[in-house]
Amino acid sequence: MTRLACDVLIIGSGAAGGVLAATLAEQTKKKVIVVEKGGWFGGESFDQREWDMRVLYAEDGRRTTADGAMAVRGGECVGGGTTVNYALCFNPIESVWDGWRRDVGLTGFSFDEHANDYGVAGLNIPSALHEVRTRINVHRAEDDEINDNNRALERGCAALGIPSKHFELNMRGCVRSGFCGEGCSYGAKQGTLVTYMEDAIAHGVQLVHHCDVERIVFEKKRGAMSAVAVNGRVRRTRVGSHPNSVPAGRIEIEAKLIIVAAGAVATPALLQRSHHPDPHRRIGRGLVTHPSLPVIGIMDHAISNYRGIPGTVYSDAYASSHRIYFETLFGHAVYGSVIIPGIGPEHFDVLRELPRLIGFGAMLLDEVDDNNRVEWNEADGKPRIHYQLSDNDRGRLRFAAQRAVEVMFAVGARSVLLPSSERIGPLPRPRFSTAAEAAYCADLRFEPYRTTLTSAHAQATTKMGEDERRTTTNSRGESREIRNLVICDSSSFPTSCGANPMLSIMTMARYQGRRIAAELARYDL
Amino acid sequence: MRCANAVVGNARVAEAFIVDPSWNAYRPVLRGVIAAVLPFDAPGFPPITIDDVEQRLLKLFPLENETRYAGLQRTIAFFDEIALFPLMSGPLLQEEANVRDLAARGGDSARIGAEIAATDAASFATFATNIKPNARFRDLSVDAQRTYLGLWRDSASIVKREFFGSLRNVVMITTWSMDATWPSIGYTGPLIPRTAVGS
Repeated sequence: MTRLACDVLIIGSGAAGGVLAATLAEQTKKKVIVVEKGGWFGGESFDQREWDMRVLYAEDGRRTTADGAMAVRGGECVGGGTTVNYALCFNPIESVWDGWRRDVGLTGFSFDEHANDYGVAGLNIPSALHEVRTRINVHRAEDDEINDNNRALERGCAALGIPSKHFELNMRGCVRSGFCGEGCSYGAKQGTLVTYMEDAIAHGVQLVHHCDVERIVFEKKRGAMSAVAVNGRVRRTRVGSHPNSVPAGRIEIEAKLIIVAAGAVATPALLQRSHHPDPHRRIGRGLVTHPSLPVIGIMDHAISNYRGIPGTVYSDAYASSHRIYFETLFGHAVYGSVIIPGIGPEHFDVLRELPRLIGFGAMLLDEVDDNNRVEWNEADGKPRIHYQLSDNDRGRLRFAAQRAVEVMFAVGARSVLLPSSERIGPLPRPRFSTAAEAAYCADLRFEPYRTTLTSAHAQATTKMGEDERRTTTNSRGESREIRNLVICDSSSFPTSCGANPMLSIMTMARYQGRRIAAELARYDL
Repeated sequence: MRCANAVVGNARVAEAFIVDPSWNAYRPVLRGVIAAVLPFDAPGFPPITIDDVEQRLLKLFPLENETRYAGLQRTIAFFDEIALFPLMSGPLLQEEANVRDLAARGGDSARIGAEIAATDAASFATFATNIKPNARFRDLSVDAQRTYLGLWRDSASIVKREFFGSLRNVVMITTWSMDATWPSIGYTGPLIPRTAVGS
């Protein structure tokens, strides 16, 4: 049994945990330990093979909804999702946070750059955002960084009068290999692996990876239940990972403050198996995932698609009206073989067109439904993710599918298909020969295992706010029932944050890290 | 269940539900699935064989060595017994209720099961007219195997569709993660050598 002790224990090293660790290490003299479930793989280990790089993902890339129908991808490695995402950056959206103030009484998180939230000098969202943007080098994609696939979305949208934009990306010196999803072999993607976690370690933070945290230990201290330790197990280090700071085996870590930053699936599951009180049955409930419908077009000529920066062009033209984004992304051979529908010659005839394929996704900002939830399943020893689309969200996706197919034809696709086996109108499958046939998308039902949706943005499972009946933590992220326990990650958002969440999470974490550093006495530190 | 028993016999129905079917029991089915999912004879298809795919599949997905694949093994055995396709038995119905989250969201499991059975029986009837009575999946022609897989893909049961999707994806991942398959689809692959992680 390894026994460690620290002032602050952070569970998770991703968009939230990495930023929190560096911020607390830089701004306090406290001993900080970070535990990470996944391995500590550096760029030298990333070999650009989809199957090999499954080690960077939760459940080796097999995490799905309970019905198995939708992948719920998430990074599970040092850096978390920031190691395996596509570096797409959206600033926190003020109108969304204002909505949270109205709906669940969220306080703090001022968007006024002169605000001093909680009496802390300069603590506000714009200052935290500025610091994060600077550290991870967020910048707009340049025109010469747009590959043919991204250009296709841009031109298709333009042909139909739909505005499009260039993404902001957190990259430095990108070589345009096209392998963002497999971890950046070149250290160009500025995730927390190569930024905040490096900073944290340079400031003396101890990193324990390959660590399964089984339970947070609660004890009564000075009349209140408090988080005092975690226990779990350190697995043997996987091949290719950096060595660990502790041996494999049982581990217990005592801490004065425990911050859970394990993401919107693992965080509520950990609270549930730790038997965290839940008087209003909120933990894990109201999950949103940003389900995305891939759309595939076949061109007459070869284009650059899997080479180059995967995502540089998007359209938010329907974000306000239909809660839909069009975002360009493109995968590699394995992903393509799975997304392209069918079997036998029907499947191969499309897959062999790979150099002529264009693709983008219609990403939905799904609405909150309490039945969509994460539940710790003792029998499986892993969380179950119960998720179904609401009728409203199905309607929005139908609209998105129709417009997306029209965009594909507008840019010159000779054929367009959806990853679906649903019969729509007179079409036995959603494979379109003309733009007019896009209208049949009105018949899509998005049934499990008939139409493939993907997701990578799980959020909103331990919501923050001041409405005790609708949230798990207060606006500081503090548990209402357990002292010295803070939750800070995508699970903290009361609803969808309104776009790809990385930068919103990192900004929130920077803000909370600075606040905690200024309020140490609040946590007996 | 009674109807199914009448067609294929009690012993085979029992075998289809046994806890841990032997490798010999489901290997021919697995090879049939591989042959149906991949068009080995198609012009331009990569120069690989069923043996290549089977060996790699068992390396990536050790069906024989890991308990998490026990359910898949059982379903493969069930899948082989074609006449059982319309059946919504107790375990299947329970799993259907689970994936539909009926306990939380409400819904009549028995009614849903009956609707699935009726829908699948209708689609099966058309298919069954073209095959020998008492046939197994492993005995069908490749074209008939693809049609039968299509019944599972289009089933009214989410669980049956899930089985089709899982098997299909296992074969796809196995095949198209092989370097040797990439030239045939114009994929030029990684820009750096394999690292220790993939060794």
